[in-house]
Parts: sequence; structure tokens; C-alpha cells
Amino acid sequence: MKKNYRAVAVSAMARRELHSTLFGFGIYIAIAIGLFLASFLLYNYVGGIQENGMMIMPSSVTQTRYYGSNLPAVEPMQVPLKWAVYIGAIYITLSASMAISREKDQGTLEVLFYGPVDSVSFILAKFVEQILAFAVILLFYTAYFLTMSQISNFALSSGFVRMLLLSLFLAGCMAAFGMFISSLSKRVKTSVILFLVLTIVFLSVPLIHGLLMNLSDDEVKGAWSVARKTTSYLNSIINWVSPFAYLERGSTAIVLNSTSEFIKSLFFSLLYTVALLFGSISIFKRKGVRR
Amino acid sequence: MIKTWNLTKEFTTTVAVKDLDLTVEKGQIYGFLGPNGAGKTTTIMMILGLEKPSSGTIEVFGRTLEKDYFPIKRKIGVVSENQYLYEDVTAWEYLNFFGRLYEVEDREKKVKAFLERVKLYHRRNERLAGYSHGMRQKISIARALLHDPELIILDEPQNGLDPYGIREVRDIIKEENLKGKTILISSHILSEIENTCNRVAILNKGRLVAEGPMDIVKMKAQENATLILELENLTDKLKQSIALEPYVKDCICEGDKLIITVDRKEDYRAKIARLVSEQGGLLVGMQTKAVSLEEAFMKITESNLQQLIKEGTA
Amino acid sequence: MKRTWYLLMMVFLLATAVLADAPEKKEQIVNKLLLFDGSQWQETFSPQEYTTFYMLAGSDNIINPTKTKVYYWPITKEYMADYYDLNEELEGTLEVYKGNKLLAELEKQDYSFAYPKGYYGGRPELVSGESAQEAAQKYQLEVEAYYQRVLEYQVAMDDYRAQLDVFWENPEAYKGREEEIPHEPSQPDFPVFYATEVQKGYILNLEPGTYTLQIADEPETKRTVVVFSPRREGPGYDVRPSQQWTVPQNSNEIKEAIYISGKQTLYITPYNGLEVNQYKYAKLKKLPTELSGRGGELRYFWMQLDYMQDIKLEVFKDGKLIDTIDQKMWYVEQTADAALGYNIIEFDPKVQGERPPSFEGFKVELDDSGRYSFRLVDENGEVIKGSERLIRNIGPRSRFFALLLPLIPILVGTLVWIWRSSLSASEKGTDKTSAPSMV
Repeated sequence: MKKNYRAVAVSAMARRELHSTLFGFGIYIAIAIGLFLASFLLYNYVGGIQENGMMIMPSSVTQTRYYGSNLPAVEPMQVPLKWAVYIGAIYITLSASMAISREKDQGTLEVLFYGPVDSVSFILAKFVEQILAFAVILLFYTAYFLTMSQISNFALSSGFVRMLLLSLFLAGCMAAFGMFISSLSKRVKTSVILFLVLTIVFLSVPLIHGLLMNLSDDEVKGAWSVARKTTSYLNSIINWVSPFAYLERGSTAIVLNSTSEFIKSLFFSLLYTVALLFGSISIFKRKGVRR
Repeated sequence: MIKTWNLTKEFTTTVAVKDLDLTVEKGQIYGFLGPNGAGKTTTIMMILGLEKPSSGTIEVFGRTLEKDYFPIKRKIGVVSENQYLYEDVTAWEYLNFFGRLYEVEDREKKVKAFLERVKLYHRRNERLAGYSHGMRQKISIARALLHDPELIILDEPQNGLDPYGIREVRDIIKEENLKGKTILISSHILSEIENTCNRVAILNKGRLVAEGPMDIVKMKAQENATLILELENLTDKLKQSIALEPYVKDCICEGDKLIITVDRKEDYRAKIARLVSEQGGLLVGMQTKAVSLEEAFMKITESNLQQLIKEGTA
Repeated sequence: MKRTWYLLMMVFLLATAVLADAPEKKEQIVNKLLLFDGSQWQETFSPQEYTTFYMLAGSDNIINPTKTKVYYWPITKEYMADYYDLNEELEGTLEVYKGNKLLAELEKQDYSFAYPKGYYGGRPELVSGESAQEAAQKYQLEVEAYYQRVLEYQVAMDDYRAQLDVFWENPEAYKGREEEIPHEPSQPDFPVFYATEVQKGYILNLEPGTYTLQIADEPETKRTVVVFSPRREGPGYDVRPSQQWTVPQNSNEIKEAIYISGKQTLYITPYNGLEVNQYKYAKLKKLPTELSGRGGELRYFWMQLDYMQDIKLEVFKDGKLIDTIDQKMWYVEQTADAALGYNIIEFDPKVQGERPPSFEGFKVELDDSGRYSFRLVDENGEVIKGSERLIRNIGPRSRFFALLLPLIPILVGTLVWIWRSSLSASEKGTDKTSAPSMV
């Protein structure tokens, strides 16, 4: 049987990278920020229950009044987990966005390529490492939520498990997105700037679009109308380009309790990840490994 | 072991390597020389697949990288002039990682052995960020040799090393060659190349200007040969009769020694010996003055430059 | 200053004049719709601008293609029909197609909405054909009987007043003859049963799917109807904590838990609920409104229908049935002290008199320990599907641990960092022979 040298290279590199990540401080700070955010929400839930005497935590969108606002009231652990996952995913993207450019910047990329490492194995190793790092983050999160569930008596249900599964796919999207950014730039500084700019665009455009869509048609005239059309157009692109959109789609599916939408969101996340990884490999090959 | 045909690398504005035909045989210590910008590193990078040739073919171990990338790469060890290391890991972790990458058998034993060989075992748990230049180069060498490669490529391995370091590297190169390894060295330290290599290639402006065994290349660098004659009873008459010979270009007397510059086209040593005898002189000894590699290198690269200027390609 | 005021007044008056412009009305054929929303019938219509309408599967719905005048009302962004100006209902056979297949041909029928427990007493029933006539007639007869009773009551009242006058002339004379003292006659009760007037319309009752319908040879009446089912049905609850009775929270799903903190008294009022698609349901209720259902195509929500009657609540503690409770009326009584508090007491018409009860529900008293749950059973003791709910008591130290646990990763990171730093510092100048742990 022909030996899979590429797999050996991927395994060795991913292992080294993970080792380096775990021996750094960044991942622990990211986990802590994610957990603080989750804790802040749980803290408020507990406060709300104590103040109001009770709270009902449903598992799907509930709206008993026809004209009422849409309240995505989900099971208590789901929203905190979602926000913690967002923080973890942003960390992964930032880390991935520096993955190639840092090695190129430091010259270690060249040394790796003296040996049995090619573009595919290098990109895959970096990707696998990000996923493994995210899995470590999820381990911390799971431990935290299990403990909090025991202490607080807040329920953990299948929606929570689904969210964990979805977040792994999201991590794939985010890591692939980060790698793509990294493959475009030669310097770490450029990667970080690119990451920040794109993240701000990806998060702000849907927000602005939402605000503009909430304006009544009468108010939207002239420049406002152009702005609404532009953001609408941009938003429809961002819906497919932004990795955050894939988490949003998946978590909406979980909240809506729609299995078909959930599976669809996983499939599209996978497609997005594969497409960006192919893109990264192709750009990386074209740009070469030397400083 | 390494073979290139018409290897050319063109960048947007320059030609880094032009029609390079190179052959490195198994077991050789092959010196790769050239001034800065001659195309040595570009050639090495092309051999390693890090640069794509504009045209030409490269074979390593009789195979091409396009077809057998991984099997070829696993049999090469490389030390570059730049010491690019992972700063956040220890020496032990660094070598262990490369051991894994190359699937080295008895990895930990070998890592230990190599750390001892480069005299860094006692500092194995120190992060590489704290290593000195010489220590970093030693770690790079250990990394390149860890997987027992058949071909070792060293690009300026002694750059920035102190005399002890240079000697240690030289010893390692020789040891590895004795084990049957093929070694390709590119270096600025010509004395080191002269001391270690048995074959050299000189590259200038991307072109191969000399190639062959060390002595031949050195010889080729000279238009004239210098003979040192040690004589008893050195007389003016003898000196004049030698100086009058058509193939003698210069004749200087230094004590009881006569230093003669002759045309390099022929070996005139027998003729001169005969003439000395005919003129009643007693020849105690005759030596051909050795040309250093440095002299040969300067000569060859300068004359090549002149030629290129004439051709208008320099 | 005065001039500015005049100017402002002028602008205001002009603006008012512009706003007051009457909208342009266009004559067109619409479909008047009376659509069942799960508990009652909603009136809407399908103008030419909205030719697809939505209705619930398996329910009777009324359709009446009508010629009327339609205008757009920009303030609420909806189309409106002016039936006062023009209201010509079209006659003919209504053809219902599924794809190209003619599924049914319908003729107009008589219909009426009957309210057996009174107009405010529960769900109406749609009765059609002869039953509609009978229902309307029954109501008419009951009203006539009522009027008869009112006439009799007025006569009795006149008699009573006359007897009372006699009585007041010499009340002492009635001593020992108290039974002869005149008694006021009681007012006649208004009939409980109510039915609307008999009207005519096409009654549609379809399975889920998409259909087209039109009156034969009247292409302008052509409409598409999307028939959908609720995703789920089941009882929901209004749950009121005793300390905030005005803010009930809803529990619609079996998976939902009611979280409480410490000892608590809850008032639980069950209702019938439907989980429906937000967009379709919004369109079912208000079709020609631009904003109705916007963005809700993928969303589902629980629609609260009527409150459930004739049921009991079973309460469990640690898996054991501890109580079976009846639903009661409750009255919220303000306390007289300065704290402006209140007490929730059982409603007693004798005590509260004319005042209505504040709410109806089951009172559940919970301790701060144990695992509680409850469910509904009907008159026959059968458990009502989907009525189970868990009650979870929040741990008292939750907030402390919520602050503490996120510090753990920082601690782990610090330990790793200290260990790595010690490696670099301690090894210099040493010559240890043992290999470190693997990477």
C-alpha cells in the first residue's frame, strides 16, 4: 500500500501547531472572554428569575401575540453558548489569518518546505490545527456549561448538542476564511488589518441593512434609498461570503427547530470551507513560499 | 544524484540562472561558488522545488519533483544561510517535530544523539529564541541531518560562525561524506570549499563558468603557470638562457631560487630541467606554484564578467 | 415672534390639507374572505394586488368574490375595500383546481356563525345550509321569547310598584303577615345562544397544498390559495408568579421549563395553542397589508387561542403525584396599607359583587426543594397530550459560580506560562541527561 506522506506531514505539523497554541496564552484569554460573556448572560437570567419570581425558557421562537416582536427566546444555555462560540470563532479566524503570513514572515515556512511538505499538506495542517484548537475551546466550554448546568439547574438539551456540532462547522468556515486572508498577505500586519476590516464589514453591513430595512418606505428617499439598495445588495453577498452568516443561519435553524434547515446550514458551511481552502491553496501556490 | 539540463530562471527584470547544466554524483562534496547574485541560492531553491524554473529540467535521485515530491524530499537535508527557527519551542521540541515530519525511527534517541553531537544537549529545554547565532546554526544542521538524508544541501552553512563553529561544521560535513552522503555546499568562504570539496562549480551572473574537480578548475583559472626552481650554482648565464626560451614569459631570481612564469598550454618542466642540465646547473628541486581557489575564483569570475561586458549581457 | 407663529400655522394647515387628500379608489373584483384562524373567523380580502391568500387546512372558510372599490391606505400600508360605496357579490360556480385538475365545483351556501355559549363564551361554530337557517331562527325565537319575558317583567314590575305603594300606606298592618310583603320580580336573562344572520358564500375546506380557484368564466376572480397545517398543536400556559401577577409568561412547548427561585406560588392558566408559520399566518389574518409576515417565512410561532375549560391539573414532586387541582377564579385585592401590595384571593361573587374576577387558573404552591412537574387531565382523567411541564429551581450559588468559572482558563494559561518560562530559565548551564517529556 502506498504510504500517505501528506497525511504524515499534516499530522506532524498540526500537532506542532496545536502544541504551540496550547503553550501560548492567547487561547486561554479567548476562552476566558467567551466564558465571561456566557456568564454575563447566565448571571442576568438568574437575576431575572430572582427578580420576577420565575422565567420560562422555551426552545423555539415563541410569540403569543400576533403583532408582538420576534423574541428568539431559546433554552437558557443556548444563547450564552452561541456568544461564547462567536468569541472562540473570532479567535480561530484571527489565529488562522496569521497562520501562513507569520510563517512566511519568520521564514520558517521556507524551512518546512525544504522537507516533505507541500502546499496542500501545509494548508491542511494549518486548518486541522485550527479545528483542533477550537475543539479544545469547545472542551472548556462544554465543561463550563455542564458545571453551570449542575450548579444552576439550567437545562441542557439536544439544542445545546446541536449548537456544539454546528459550532465545529462554523470553526471550519472561520478557519478557512482566516487561511484565505492569510494566503493573500505576506506580512502578519497585513493579515491582521485585512481580518479586522473584513470582520467589521461582515458584522456591520447586516446590522446597517437591518436598520435601514426597519425604516418605513416613506422615509427612505433619495440618498437613503440608494443606501438601502446598496446595503441590501452587499448583504446578499455577505450572506454567502461571511463566515458569521453561516453560524447565524445554523443557529436560526436550531432556534426554529428545523432539522432540514440545520442540515442545509451544515452542508453550506462545509461547501464554504472547502471552497475557501481550495482558494487558499491555489493562491498560496501562486505566491510561493519564500519571503 | 542531482542533474540539471538547460535550467533557466527568469524574473521580471533579471535572468537569475541561464541554461545551467549541472551534475552532482553520489558521494561527492560539491562546492557551489559564485559572487552575490550569481544564482546559487535560486538554483538550490529550484532543486528543492521552492522556485519554479522558467525552463529546463531537474532530476534528483534520477526522479523529478513533479512525480515523486515526497519520496525525494524525505531524502534531502537542507541547511540554509538564514536561521529560520520556531522561536517559541525548545531545541528538543524543534528536533522532535522534524523527526516526526520525516518519520525518523527511534526518534527520541536520534534527537538526543544529534543534540549531543552539536554539543547542545545540555540546553535542550531552552527555547530557541534565547539561542545565539552559532547555536541556531548547529540546531539547523542537526535538523538537516536528523533523518539521515542521502543528499545534504548546505547554503552558506558557515555564515557568521566563529572559527570553532566553522571547524565543527567542516568536521560534520566530512564525517557525513565518509558515511557516503552526497553534499552540495554553496559558500562564500572559499578556503572552506577548498578544504572540503572535491568538485566545484562556479556560477556568475546565472551562468556556469567553470565546473570540474578542484585542481582542474584551479588550473583552468590560470593562463600561465609559475615554476619555482631550486638550484645550486645559480649563475646569470643560466638565468639568461632560461629567460631567452620562447615559452618563458618572466624569470625572477630570489636567492638561490628562480621563479619562472611559463605559458600554461604545455608542461615545460622536462624541457627546463634539460636546459638547466645543459647549462651546467644543478636542479635541487622544482615546484609548480599552487593557485588558491580564491585566486582561481577571482580570475574566472572577472574574465567571465569581461566577456559578458563584451557580449553586452552583463 | 408672532410672524413665525403664523408661518408655522400656515405650514401645519397646508400639511394637514395634503395629508387629508382622499385616496384614489379603483373598482375591481376582490375575494371577500372569512378565514378560520384556529379559534374564530377573521375577515380579510384578496385584491388584485394580492392574488394569493392563505388558509388553515381542514377548516371551513368562506369566500365571496365581490365587485367593490379598493384604495391604498398609506398610513397603515394596506389596501382597503370600501364595501359601503360598492358591494356587488358575484354569482356562479366556484371552480377549485389543483394544478390543472378540477377538484371541485362549489355553489354558494347559506351560513351563519353560532355561539352556543354566548358571544363571549367560547368558540363560535360555522353552521351552513339548513342548520344555518335553524340556528338563526333559534336565535330569533330566543330573542323574541326574551322580549316576551321583558314585557312580562315590566308588567310584574308595575304590579310590584303598585303593591309597594299599598304596603307603604300601612306597613304596620303587615306584622305577622311578612309573606304578603311584595317581592321585586327578577329581571329576565338575555339568551345565551347567539347566531349571526344567515349569509351566502362559498364554503371551502381543503387539505394542505396549493390550489387555484375562480368563478367559471370570471377570470378576474381567479386566486391562488395556499392551504397549510399548523406544525404542532397543544396546550400552552399563562404562568403568573404570585409577586407579579400582571406579567404572565407563556409556556407553549413540552420542552420548556419553568425556572423559579426558592419558594414560589404560581397561577397557571392553560389555553389551546397552535404553532404556525409566521408569514402564512400573518397573511391569513391580514392579507393586503404590505408589512404583514415580512421576514417570517422561515419562522414559526405559537398562537394562543381560547382558554381551556373542564380540566384538572396534576402536580408531581420527585415523580410522585402530590395534588390534583381544580381551576378557580381569582381576585386580586389591593391591600390598604402604604406598601401598595396586593393579595390574590379566591373569587367569590357574594363578596366581590359586581366586580369581575382578575383571572382564572390553577394555584400551585412550590417548596424550594425537590423536582416539580405538572400536567393536565380532562374530565375523564385522560392526560392531555403535550401538557407536561417541568419546574426547575435555580441553584442559590449560581451567580457566584458564573463569575468564578471563567477565571479557570486564565489560571490554566498562567500555569502553562509559568511552566514554559521556568523551562527556559532553569536549563541554562546544566547538563541533564534525561530526556524531557515528548512533544
